[in-house]
Amino acid sequence: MIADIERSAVSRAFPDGTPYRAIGVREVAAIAAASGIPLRQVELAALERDILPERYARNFRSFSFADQAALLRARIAVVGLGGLGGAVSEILARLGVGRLTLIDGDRFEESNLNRQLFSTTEALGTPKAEAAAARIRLVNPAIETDPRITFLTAENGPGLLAGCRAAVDCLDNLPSRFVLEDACRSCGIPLVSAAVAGSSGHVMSVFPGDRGLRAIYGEPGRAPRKGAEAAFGTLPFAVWFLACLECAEVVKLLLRRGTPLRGRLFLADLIEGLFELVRLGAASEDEGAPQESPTASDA
Amino acid sequence: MKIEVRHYGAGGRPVAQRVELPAGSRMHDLLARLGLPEAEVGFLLVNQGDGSFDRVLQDGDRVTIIPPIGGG
Repeated sequence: MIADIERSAVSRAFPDGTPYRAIGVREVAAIAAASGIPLRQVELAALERDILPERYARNFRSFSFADQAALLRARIAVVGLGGLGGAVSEILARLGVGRLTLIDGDRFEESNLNRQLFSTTEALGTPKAEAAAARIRLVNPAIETDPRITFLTAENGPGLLAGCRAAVDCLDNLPSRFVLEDACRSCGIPLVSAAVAGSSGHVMSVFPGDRGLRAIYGEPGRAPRKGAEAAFGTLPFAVWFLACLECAEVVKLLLRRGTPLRGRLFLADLIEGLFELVRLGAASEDEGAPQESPTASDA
Repeated sequence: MKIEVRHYGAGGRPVAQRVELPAGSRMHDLLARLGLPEAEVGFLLVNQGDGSFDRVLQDGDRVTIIPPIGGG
């Protein structure tokens, strides 16, 4: 396989003139088919030899070869595949986050069509997890998807999240968000959480020892099932904006770059053009500290 | 005194506004002026720090009001 990768590599240049060696989508597919090795492993082998799969060319040099390989090795759980989860899944797949556990027990209905990327008139009635996996196969077949047509519960949560480096909360109700947070705590992995109502929303990252969602919603037993979105809906540009911020958090966590939104809440209203970052009170001792190494390992 | 208010998830209410209140007013006076039931408030911040319903407000305070938001 290595010889085939070297033979298939071509010389290219970035728009600024910097040369690099690239391998194309067709060549990766041909090598995978001939060798019986998964596309993701072929891409990883290329990256280890400083050969850039051309599909990631515009991630480079924001991401190094090692960064791109780290993304490709990682497993992330996307929990909820509606508005936030559709956009998050699409972006993570295009970024090259190599393994995605896609969790949602729901099927598409008409009221999803204003914002949920994988909902189409043809897909109405289709399980969201199946639609997400099908879309990702079209966008980036090197990504290994694990679609789960189920809702994450206290019972199945730790099993669903096993092996994940982080989970992305793309859910649509408060009780489920607390269940996911508990499952992340028991797995020792960070949670990236966003929520939207109307044109407003917020995003934060929660590490296992942090106060987390309780800092914004109070105790789980006292939080309502639905928030202001029950009255004001969920506008697509706010949903996708918050989904983008969740993806940036995932990249920060996976590559240990920047400062995660830990013990801090990023708030936005897109119609008013208001954006602010607030510290959450009574943070745990570790909150605001540099991020620790995620506990789950990558295969 | 003047209070700067930012109210997220407000669904058509003004998101950013300046509210004039008598000196000594508390947070619940501000919410009453805004016509906002306390039950619709998820959490409050004053000058990006902790807020509470009985907190006495000061001229120039910036109050951030966030209802429970859970949609996706």
